[in-house]
Formats: sequence, structure tokens, C-alpha cells
Amino acid sequence: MLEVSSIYLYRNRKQVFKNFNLNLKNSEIILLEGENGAGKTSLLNMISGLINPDKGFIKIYKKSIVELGNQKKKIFTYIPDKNCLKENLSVNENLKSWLNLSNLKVNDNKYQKALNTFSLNSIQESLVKSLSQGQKKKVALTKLLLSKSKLWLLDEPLNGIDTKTITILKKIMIQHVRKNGSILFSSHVKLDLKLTKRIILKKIVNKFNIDLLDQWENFQ
Amino acid sequence: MGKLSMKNFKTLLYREFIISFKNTKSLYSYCTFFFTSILLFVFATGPDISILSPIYKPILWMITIFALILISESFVFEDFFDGSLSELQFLGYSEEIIFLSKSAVMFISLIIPNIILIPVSSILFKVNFLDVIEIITLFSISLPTITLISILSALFSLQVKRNKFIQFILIMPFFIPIIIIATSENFFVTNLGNEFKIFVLIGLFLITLPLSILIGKLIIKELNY
Repeated sequence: MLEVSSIYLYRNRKQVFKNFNLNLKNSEIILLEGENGAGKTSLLNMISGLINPDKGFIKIYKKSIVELGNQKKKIFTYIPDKNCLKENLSVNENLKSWLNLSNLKVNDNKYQKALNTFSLNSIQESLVKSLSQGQKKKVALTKLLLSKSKLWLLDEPLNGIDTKTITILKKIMIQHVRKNGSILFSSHVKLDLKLTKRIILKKIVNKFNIDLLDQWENFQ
Repeated sequence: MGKLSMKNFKTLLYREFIISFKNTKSLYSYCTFFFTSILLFVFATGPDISILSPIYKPILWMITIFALILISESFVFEDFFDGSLSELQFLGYSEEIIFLSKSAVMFISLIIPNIILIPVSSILFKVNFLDVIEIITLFSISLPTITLISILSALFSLQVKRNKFIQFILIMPFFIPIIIIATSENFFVTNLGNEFKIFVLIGLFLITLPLSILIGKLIIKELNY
């Protein structure tokens, strides 16, 4: 489903990825782990086509991300770290605007069911600016239930949500995988999912930095 | 492909309209800044307002450009900080369409208050009715161009996070040709009629449009890094 091959990426003159490979098959979950700045968000941004790798290629269903163009919204759903919600719009207006942008039509029954999953029914007419951080995250995660795509890309989906919501999200993820879907997500919070493969990203330390470190140790 | 782009543009335009009309803060700031600045000149001059009439045009343009730069940020900043700008891109909307839809909505949401604000402020400056018509016409024709430049300026300020002063240095020269043409009197170029001014302003718009789309696209892409 998703193939990341021989990726090289430099950011602010620092190498973030060096010959990085990843293969996500159908019915598979991959968890990206790693310290801050290791490149988790950069990897997800590359896969979603927001940034281009300096070398290597990314293919979804054997098509490069550039070729996919407007088809991207049908193939994958990306929930970034930021909630992408407009503060002056209500929960309903935000989700309906997203559905419109994603070219998705969802019947009212399914829509209400999705809201109900995250207990958002009672606040669906409330403005997003009046919600707590956790509630905002829940609104963002509701997009997963409304989407029809097989591939989910989630950047820190567990940030700011309570244990009850984490359990709900776990169930949703398992259901998605059982329906032949795939998930690539990053998280600092430990999520006990047996089906999950783990990839630990490590910061690349440049030779220049190692030299400096050696000099410092010698000096000491 | 063309049909798809048009559909995408309409979808984005609809979204931007809803956001813009739900967020009246920027429009309120624009009107407040405009009137406070106009009143500043009126009160500073005293009872003999007729002294101000000949310099009404430059005063109006100066205030408008500063107000535009101020509020243009709200059209871009919010989308950048809440992640919507990235969301639109990974949903497959091209940077050109994003830039154009933002500029179009900003233009439409500003032209309406300006058509009311300019005649009202001209009363305070004792400007001729015919002159007011001329000012509104030239202003309306110049507004698309200065809107494009203002949105570009807001994007610049996002990219050049460290120094806002650079934004003014980079952007201000682009406003100069429009100001010269729109505010100039006949002494500047002999027999410079309004018809000629209108054609030049339309010409400037046609030059600014592709250039700003291209630069806007590059900046929006660069903001992801």
C-alpha cells in the first residue's frame, strides 16, 4: 500500500533521513517512535506530499505522491498534530466544511454516529473556540470516521485526549485494520496494540557534531 | 483538469467566504483604523477643513494601504497557525488556488465597506461629489492589485518570521506604481485622463496577477519546511 524507499532529507542544513525505508502493507499498523526532532512529523509530511524528499521516492498504491494530485484525498486521510479547526466556526460547520473540501458525502445517520462515538453530539453546535484541547482533538479525530480512505496517517493522535478516548481510538483503529485498512502513526504515549509494528527513528548525528563532541571530551 | 480546478476553486471560495463572514474582527479592525486615522487628520486641522481637500487622495491611499497590510495578516495567519493551510495542500488543493481564493475573498469583503467609507470620509474633507466618484472608481480598479500585494505581504511576514521591517521593505515598492497612477493629477503627466489611468491600473493588475500567484505559490510551499 505505502512504500517509502531510500529517502534522504535535509532540513536547516541537518540531515534528518539517510537511506530510510518503510513498507506499509494492507491491514497493518506502524507506530513511529523517537525523540523530539527525530523526523516523525517530517516523514508524515513527506508521505502526505507537503514536503519533498531530497532523494528517494514515496509511492502509494504504486503511484508517486506527485502523480496522485487531487486523488490524494480519496486515498489517505491525514490528521496532523495541529487540529486544523476554525475557531469561529461550530463543530458541525468545521466538519461539514472538511467533508466539502474532501469531496465526501455522508448521510446524516453516519454523521451523527461518528459524533456519538466521541460523545460530541451535545456540543455539535458549539463554537470550536469554546471547546477544551481534548474536545478539539476529538473533533479532529472524528474526521477518521467520516473518511472512506484505506490509509490513515496520524501525527500524535493521542496528545491531549483522556484514557477513555484513547480506548475508543484503539477500537476504531482495530476496526479499520480489520476492514483491510492501514495506519501509520506517531506517538509519544504508549498504545498497547498487538498488531502494531514499531519503527524507532533516531536523530542523525553529523560527523561535524561528533568531532565537536570529541574535542569537548578531550578538553575536559 | 480545468473543470476540476474550477470546482476546487469554487469549493475553496465558499469555505473562505464562510470563515471571513464568521470572523468580523478583521473587518471591524479595518473600519476602526480607517475612521480613526481620518478623524485624526480632521481634528488636527481644526475648523478650516478645506485645507485638507487637495490632499484627500494621498491621505486616503496611505490609510487604506496600512489598513490593508494590517488585516491581510488575519486572512493568512490563522490558517497557518491552526494547520488549515497545510490541510488544504494535502487535500490536493494547489497553492495557486489557495492564494487566489484568499485574495478574491479579501477583495470582496473590502470593496463593500470601502464603497461606504470613502464617500462618508469625503464629507469630512469637503471633497467634490465628482471627485468622490473618480476616487471610488480608481480605488475599485486598484483594489484587486493591492489586495494581491497585501496577501503576498502577509505570506512574506510568515516566512520572514524574525523581522517584520523586512516585510515593509520588500512589499512597499510594489504599491508605488499603483499609488502614482491612482493619485496623480494632470501636472504629473500632461493630459493624463481618467481613461488612461484606468487602462494603466488594469495593466498593472494584469502584471501583478501572474507574478503574485507565482510568488505566493512558492512562499506557501516554503512555509511547510
